[in-house]
Amino acid sequence: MNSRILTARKALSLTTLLFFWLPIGLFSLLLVYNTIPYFDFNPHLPFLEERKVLYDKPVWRISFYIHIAAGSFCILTALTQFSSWILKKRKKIHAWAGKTYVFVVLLLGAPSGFYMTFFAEGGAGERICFMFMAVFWFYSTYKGFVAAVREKNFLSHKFWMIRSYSMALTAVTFRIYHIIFFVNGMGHFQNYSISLWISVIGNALVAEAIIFFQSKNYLKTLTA
Amino acid sequence: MKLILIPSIIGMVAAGVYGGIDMYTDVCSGTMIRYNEGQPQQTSETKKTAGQKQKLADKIKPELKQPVQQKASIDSSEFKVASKVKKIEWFSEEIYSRGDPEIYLRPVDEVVLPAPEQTDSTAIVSASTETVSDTLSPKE
Repeated sequence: MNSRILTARKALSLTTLLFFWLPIGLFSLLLVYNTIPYFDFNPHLPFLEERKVLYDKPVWRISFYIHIAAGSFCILTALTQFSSWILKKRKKIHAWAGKTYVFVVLLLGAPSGFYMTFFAEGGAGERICFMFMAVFWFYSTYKGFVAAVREKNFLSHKFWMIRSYSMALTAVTFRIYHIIFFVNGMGHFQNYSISLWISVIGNALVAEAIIFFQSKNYLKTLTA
Repeated sequence: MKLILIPSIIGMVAAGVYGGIDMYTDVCSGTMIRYNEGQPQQTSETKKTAGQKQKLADKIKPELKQPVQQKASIDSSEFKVASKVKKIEWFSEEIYSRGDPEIYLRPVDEVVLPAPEQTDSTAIVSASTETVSDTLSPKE
């Protein structure tokens, strides 16, 4: 292959690492770090004080703690999954981290999140958005897992896992948008609503764009 | 694989059904959560203003004390005047028409009410009775 093309590829991967994976990794770690105070089980934290009515419900309370623990696990395990070095050299790490991710999403993260969407902040639109997110997160993870384990179709597995990760990352991108709009002086409710929609639809579109450029037949990736 | 997939599907369906029923019961009973717009910001703001309020109160307190004391002294003097005015109101012209006319001309502050002259009148009465008794005494 032409050495110029190789250099351009290296430059592109380095740029992606610096401007995509590095901020994503840092913000993911920050998100996990911010969930630590909740494991003190203190109901007087601002987020829980606002939801005191819900916190008094045992099902919501349990779902909340399961969801934040599962979310932290998902984000940490998913960070390793897109590394080409781990995929090539350390396949066992990929397999174990992947199994942990799938187990946590399907059994804990998505069901607890889906229950909590009925009481999510915002109007009916925001709740529907959260519901879509929970269901699509579950479905894409399920499809990705089935594609790898049962069908041995690793290309389909890759595409479905990109979709799944895009939904998991909404927790990170939502906070980034929320901070940006807050700095620009937007009101809390408006900021919350816009950040939520942009993060869910934006992440889904970015994932679809990545799949579109990587696949030969895009429509086939949706059905495979 | 089935060990993960089947429980996860059941879990997801159960979460949806239970969440829907829970929300419906909350809506029907009127206990559905209502989020206040901008509450997180408001709490921080109120904390700030509460602190500022305290500081402001500490600053103003000594300055406030003086006017309060002044007001108390004014109130007491006003109370004195008011009590005198009340006395003047009670001071009926009909009763004291035969008194000294100077009291009507003097300013309110200087007015000193004369004590009711009931004792004098009784004295007069007793004196008159004495005189009568004196005149009608069997001694003479």
